[in-house]
Amino acid sequence: MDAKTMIETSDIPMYVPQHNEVDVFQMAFENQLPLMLKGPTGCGKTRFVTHMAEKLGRPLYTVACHDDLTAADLVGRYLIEGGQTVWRDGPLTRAVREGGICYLDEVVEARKDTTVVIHPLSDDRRQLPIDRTGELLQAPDDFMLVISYNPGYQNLLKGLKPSTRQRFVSLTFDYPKSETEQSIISKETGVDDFTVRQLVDLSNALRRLKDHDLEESVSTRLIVYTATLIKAGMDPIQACRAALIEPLSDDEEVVKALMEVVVAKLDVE
Amino acid sequence: MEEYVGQIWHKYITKAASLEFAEAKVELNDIRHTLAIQFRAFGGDLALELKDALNKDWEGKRSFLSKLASSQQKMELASVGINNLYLPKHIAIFPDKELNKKTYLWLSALLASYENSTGTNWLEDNVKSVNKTLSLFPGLRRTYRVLSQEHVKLRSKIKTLKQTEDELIIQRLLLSPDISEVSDLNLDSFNPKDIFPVPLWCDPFPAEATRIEKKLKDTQTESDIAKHEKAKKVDLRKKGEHVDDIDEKDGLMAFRLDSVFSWTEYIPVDRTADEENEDQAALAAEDIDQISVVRGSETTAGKLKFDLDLPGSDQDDITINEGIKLPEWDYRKSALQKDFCRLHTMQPRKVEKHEFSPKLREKAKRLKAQFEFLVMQKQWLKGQPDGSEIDLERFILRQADELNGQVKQDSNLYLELRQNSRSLSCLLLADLSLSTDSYVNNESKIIDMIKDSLYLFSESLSATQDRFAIGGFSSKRRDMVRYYPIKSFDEKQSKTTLDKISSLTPGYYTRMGAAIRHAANQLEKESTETKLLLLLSDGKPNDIDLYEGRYGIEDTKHAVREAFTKGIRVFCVTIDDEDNNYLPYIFGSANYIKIKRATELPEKLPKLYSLLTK
Ligand SMILES: Nc1ncnc2c1ncn2[C@@H]1O[C@H](COP(=O)(O)OP(=O)(O)O)[C@@H](O)[C@H]1O
Ligand SMILES: [Mg+2]
Repeated sequence: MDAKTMIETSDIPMYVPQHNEVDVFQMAFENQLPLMLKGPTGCGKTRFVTHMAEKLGRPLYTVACHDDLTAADLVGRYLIEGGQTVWRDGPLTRAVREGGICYLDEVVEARKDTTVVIHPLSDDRRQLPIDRTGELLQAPDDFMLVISYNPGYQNLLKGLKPSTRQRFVSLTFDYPKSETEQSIISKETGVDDFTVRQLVDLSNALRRLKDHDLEESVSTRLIVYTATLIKAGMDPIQACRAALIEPLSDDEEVVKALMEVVVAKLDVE
Repeated sequence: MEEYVGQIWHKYITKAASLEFAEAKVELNDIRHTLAIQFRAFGGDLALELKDALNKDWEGKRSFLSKLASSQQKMELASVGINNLYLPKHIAIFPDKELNKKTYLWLSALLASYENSTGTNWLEDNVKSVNKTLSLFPGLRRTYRVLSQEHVKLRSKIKTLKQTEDELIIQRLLLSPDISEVSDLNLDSFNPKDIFPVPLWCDPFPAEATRIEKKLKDTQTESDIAKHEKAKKVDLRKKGEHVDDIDEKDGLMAFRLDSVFSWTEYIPVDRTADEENEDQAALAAEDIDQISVVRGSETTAGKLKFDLDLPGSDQDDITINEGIKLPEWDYRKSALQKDFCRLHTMQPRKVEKHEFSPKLREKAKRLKAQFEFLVMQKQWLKGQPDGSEIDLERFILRQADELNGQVKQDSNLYLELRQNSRSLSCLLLADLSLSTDSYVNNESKIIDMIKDSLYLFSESLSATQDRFAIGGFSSKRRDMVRYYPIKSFDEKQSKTTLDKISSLTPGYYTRMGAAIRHAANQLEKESTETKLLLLLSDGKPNDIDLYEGRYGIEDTKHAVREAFTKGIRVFCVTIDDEDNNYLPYIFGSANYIKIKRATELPEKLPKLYSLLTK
């Protein structure tokens, strides 16, 4: 590691790049383009955005979207405080005012009316109209909108509309390559190399079972959890059960079958 | 010498059977699903299905084959092929049940990393695989040590098993799988036929390959006359079969068609040319009576019945167009073959006026009413002048405005639950292949269930605002994929739709990939937000050319992928009740459902639709 990266990484949350995503993010930021991150849960999207926000020195506003999230939750609303009405900026408005990064995680979950505010911000207008106050904010150059989205088979009625999708520069994330993932796990948790390799190998074998025996994939996050438990002194096999296998399936037979594979992988004399 | 070895070997075999510890027996059927999952989790090929190991004759000397065939005492070994992996039907090689179970676990790990790398050196392949497995799964080292030690102990106790040099080598390799020792061996003098079977290793003669290779060779050397004879013989038997062609297990014997083709999966030769294919399929069919010695009672009848069933061209349905060219995926080349298939849109020769039974019409009415209600997604609408709940947010805003001295006041302060207008297109694609002609009970066939389903489905959906279309398909080779456009998206549900549904007749095979591609192309033209392709089927993809086994499965899987990239979700509803692995492999575990009782299909389908699109 050379001196430059040493300084860069000193107080920035650790992030191990998968491809050229750091460059793409940086270029998008410098050219005022909105960015969309596609990929399964727990593969490092949030960590990546946190890392980039630190690196670029911009404040980050993260919103975990859910099916009750409305445009007002993003933009802001009047509240009554002590008999007075007070306007409170939502996270999106704050990011626009301050010139920060607003990250809308799992954006397809949000109510449809949120597109009304997302659209004018994500094309070349870069504007945020606030109906309530009659303001029309022009986003400064250091404002950036980032959304994430998990294109799964399951979201039959929840796909992202093409009209939204086509406003964003896009990056596709997946679970990292084995070596990358091993280095992530060992940096995050400090567990020994052998265990890390066995855990990542095992997870990759389990990932192949997605859509087949399992509905979900092992995420990098789950491997981090497992390694964390092992580091804290838990028996590796029990750690795998709790953090790797049980979260994947409610089917007892599947859990039992997979635990035998875990033992085959990890029960080293 | 040959004779002598054979004798010894025969004793081994019989002894092998008596070596079984019946009270500690573990049945494959009891843990089949678990083992299949484990095989995949150990890294095994996802496309393979777990089958019972074929009862083997152990490739011994001919003279002993007959004796063996009469005795039930044969050794089954694990192996892995192109289409399937094979595990013994039961394992009882140890007096301890736990160890027998562990043997299954061990074998599923071994098969997952087994590579037939040398192709000829079975010893080396096995020793290498054992090493590979143990290094990938160090947690199995202890297990393997116990299994091999116990097994070697037993081997050395078998009286008839002379502790020859070769046997001692095997025992040594079992205890410490040292590859350098194998490379020093002279394999010519080391024939697996002379070796007492090693149940902890893979079969030196994988059943899938050797059995058929041999049979093919045998058959090909026969003279044409002999072949004719054989054909005649088969013909006679077919007639015999006709008498009792409806048995309770298979329904119509046409259903056995699929079994014929699953046998052809075993032919490990290149089958790219169509003409050749048919010959080989026929060979395979002929082979069935021999194979059936090993595997129950499949006969060639299905194939023959099928051929008789082909309608003459003057009675066949009408082809509407010249054919639409569609690609097909060849997994062996990993390539999409352009314009490989030709799909013809068809129309029944005569559309009969037909009324569905009063009972079914009653059901349709009920479902329709439910659908007007059910399918429509509800949503809370905010800021309504009236409604069942107070819109708190609106209310607070109004209070705020009031405090600010604003005069014009918002009076839309209620929440109301209302139907959400959604934008969805669904194409229902039904399998009309001949296998749907088999009976599900005394009164009805699968095709009847499919027709009833189409009827109830279309009636239900006509009550919603969703756009829907219905198509049916079958195929006869790649240049004759038949597609019946029963109802297009723009057509209104009408009596004509229902008449078309009731005029459908089953025939031919199931080239699923081409049908899915065509349906997906229809859906792609739709401008709705959500697109769903519902596939109704009764079994695996298959056709008379190379489209069967893995080839057909891989092509269908690819077609599903292609649809997905077009923003179309494919969901399969099947009444194939076998424990089949191909469904999740093709569609993904969240994208198919097995209906156990075919008679429930008609009513389940509309309900499933409303669940899927909720
Ligand atoms: N490339 C990476 N570099 C560093 N840590 C990572 C990386 N990918 C995943 N992680 C780890 O996985 C965890 C989950 O990642 P997260 O960003 O929350 O996933 P997502 O937002 O995609 O659901 C993080 O907390 C981090 O520990
Ligand atoms: Mg069929």
